[in-house]
Amino acid sequence: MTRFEKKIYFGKNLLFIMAILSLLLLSCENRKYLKPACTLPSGVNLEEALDHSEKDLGHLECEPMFDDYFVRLIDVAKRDPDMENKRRFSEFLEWAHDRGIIDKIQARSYYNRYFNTTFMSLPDDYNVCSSCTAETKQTIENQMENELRQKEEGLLKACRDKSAYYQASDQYNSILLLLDATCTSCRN
Amino acid sequence: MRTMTRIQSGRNRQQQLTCGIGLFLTVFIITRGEVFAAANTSPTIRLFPTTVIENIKHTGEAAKAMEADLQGVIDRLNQQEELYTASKCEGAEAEPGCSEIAAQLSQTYLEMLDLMEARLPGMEDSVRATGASLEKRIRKELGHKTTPRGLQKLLERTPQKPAKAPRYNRPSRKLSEKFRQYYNLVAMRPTADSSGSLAAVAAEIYLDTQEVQDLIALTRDEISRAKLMIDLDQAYGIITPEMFEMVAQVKTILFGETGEAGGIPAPPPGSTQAEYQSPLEQ
Repeated sequence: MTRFEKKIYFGKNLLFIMAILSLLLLSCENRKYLKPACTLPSGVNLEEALDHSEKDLGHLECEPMFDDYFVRLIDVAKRDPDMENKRRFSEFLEWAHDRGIIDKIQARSYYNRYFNTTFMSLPDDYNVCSSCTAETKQTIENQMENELRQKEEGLLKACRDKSAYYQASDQYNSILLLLDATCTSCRN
Repeated sequence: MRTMTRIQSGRNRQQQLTCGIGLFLTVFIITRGEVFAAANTSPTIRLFPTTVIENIKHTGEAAKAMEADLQGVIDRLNQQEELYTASKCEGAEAEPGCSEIAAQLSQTYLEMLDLMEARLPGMEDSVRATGASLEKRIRKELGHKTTPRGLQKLLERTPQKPAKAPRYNRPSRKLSEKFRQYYNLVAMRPTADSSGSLAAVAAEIYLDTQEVQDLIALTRDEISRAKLMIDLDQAYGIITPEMFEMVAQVKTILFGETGEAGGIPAPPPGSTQAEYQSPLEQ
């Protein structure tokens, strides 16, 4: 190979490498435009909203917004009420757990707070007397009140499950009565 | 002879064997029954031992006796009070008719105070005993043995009831009637399924006894004060607003407050569709 031919060969290689480098650079630039927008779902169709949310939450960037997505999905469900929504949300939460977006405890908490009569705000670690300081009791009562509102959103408005909601509401009253009496007895 | 003895001893053995098998079967059936019963029932919360039930019964009877004593006097007080108001005696106490009504009213008031002074200590003791025995049971069974979540689990065992108002409200009614109903509720043989509702009943009775004890203490103070005033001859024959307040307080203790909504509306009918059971449910 003559010296001239060597120069041409080297030039070709250089061009090839430069082309690859520029392609790589361009592809890096394009990532900006491929970044998911993490737009919260809207509309009146829960199935569509769930599909949209699953697509978005599949991206790492959207995962921290899981709670916002969930609350928005409840809003959508309220405009598309159906008894089947319990199953839809349960499957969505299981999907989120399988993808590692939320853990099992969080999944249970989300589901039971909105779609079951069990009050997750009630501690299950220590006995009732341990929860009877004025501050702790007040915190439990406030959290229960919030949870009753969540059950109203989930059971009553999103699922139209009136009997389950009224059962939860009835139990809320009875729990407050029991807590009051038990804490009075613990304090005396 | 020997043959006869042999036959007899053979019969005896047969009888013993039959008896043994019978006994074994009886023990087996009873034991099996107990095992099944134990398997079918969850741990029962004992809030109403016999002493508590007897205390409740006694409080109801004491309240009834006191109500019967006071009913006549309070009726008379009400009539005199109405007459006093209808005769427009307020501000015109010096009028001869009005001063007479006022004197009668004060007499009846004094009679009521005497009656209450005689009856209240017994009533107070009875309510205190009921409250104390229930307090001990509630503290032990619900306070120490149960978690807050456990309280809900306890309630979930009972059949569904109609929903109440947003926050619980203990209904006001005659004290004796309250305790009679409480007695009827708890004197029935409790089953494992009713432990949730019995817990709610226990809580209600206990809080009621606390409230009644406070009211009785207040009333006794008031009686002492009122009698002192009468002794000092400062209020005798003069109608004071305190008198009416006192009568109202007595009525609250014994007859409950009037004008409160008694019934609780039933919830709207729920969906008849089959319930979905999520694997996430707790």
